[in-house]
Amino acid sequence: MSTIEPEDRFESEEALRDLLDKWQAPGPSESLDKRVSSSFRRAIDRAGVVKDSIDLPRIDKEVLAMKFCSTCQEEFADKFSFCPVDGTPLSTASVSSQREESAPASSNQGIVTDATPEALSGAAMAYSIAAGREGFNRESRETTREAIDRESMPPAPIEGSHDHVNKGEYHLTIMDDAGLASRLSHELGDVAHE
Amino acid sequence: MPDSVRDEQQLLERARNGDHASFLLLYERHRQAIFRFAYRVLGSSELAEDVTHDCFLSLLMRPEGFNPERASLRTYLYGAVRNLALKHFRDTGRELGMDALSVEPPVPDRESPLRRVLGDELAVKVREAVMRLPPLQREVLVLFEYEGLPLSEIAAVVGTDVGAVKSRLHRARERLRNSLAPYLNSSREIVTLERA
Repeated sequence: MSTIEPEDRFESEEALRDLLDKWQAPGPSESLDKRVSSSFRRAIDRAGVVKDSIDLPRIDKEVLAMKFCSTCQEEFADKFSFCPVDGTPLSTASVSSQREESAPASSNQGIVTDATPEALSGAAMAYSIAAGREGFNRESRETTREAIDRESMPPAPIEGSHDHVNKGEYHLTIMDDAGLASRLSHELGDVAHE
Repeated sequence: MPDSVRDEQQLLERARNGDHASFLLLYERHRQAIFRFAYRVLGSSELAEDVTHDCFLSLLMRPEGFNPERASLRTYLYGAVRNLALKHFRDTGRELGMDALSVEPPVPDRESPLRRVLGDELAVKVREAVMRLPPLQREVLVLFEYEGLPLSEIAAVVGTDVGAVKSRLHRARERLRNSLAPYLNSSREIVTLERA
């Protein structure tokens, strides 16, 4: 409900405008300018980081094209059907999926989550030491094998290649040879001494 | 597409690619108007600075939000301020109280003591009256009376048609006439005093 008479409307419009002009807004402060400027720099830096991380899947795609040897734990180009090192048929499954298959099992057991070369050599060494102490009896082999499996989590065996999966013994043999060589050198030392 | 719009579009592209100078140029062009609008809608310098900051940063953080085919950069920025202000009202569950309004510092100017006293008092009354308007009427009034935007652009900013803008503007003026009726003549008297 207006208190202004109709004939005063034009005048009241002008008066209202004059009155509204009395309320002047302040200008933005210098601190706002600095804040906007620094936020811009931060946003651009962050965007650069995100952009870099977006490039990562491309690398994954390249990895997906690789094949994996379950025996020597190495990756080879897609053109190879057999491992150039030990002749094991290479798995057609991608490296990343092999690792994904092995990761949940290892995480369930709360040990190593990925089959890194360091983990593998450490596990093989543990296997060898344990096997030497136990005199290589079958039971201990099974026990130590479980220890290796738990620790290193090699890729899941591919179908029809159980012989190659058992190549964990291959590492054992190498370690055992090393022991023989050590013993031989020790014997030679004794002979030389005599 | 007008040259000025194309120019702003190029500046924005460069800013999004990390060109600090282009971003600052855009900011310089619009900061005054955007801050003023935010201040008059929110009634607080502090909140207006926050909203102005977020509004300009949204150009980088949400590049898909601005479509130059639909509206100018200025319209987009006004719209962003409006949305942030409404969000603030929703989040706080209330509008700015009169207590908060009263602590706002008066704008310094070079006036005679009598005129300044009268002017300051009127400014406070006008500010209180505008802040008492419902948000949808207030934003339309501020864009029309203070920012001088045409009705069609106001409609684009607030996302409605020109008819609704006219209606809100009319109701806002009616409310202001009622609440500021005792001061309407005072305003004229001050003008006369200034001329004398």
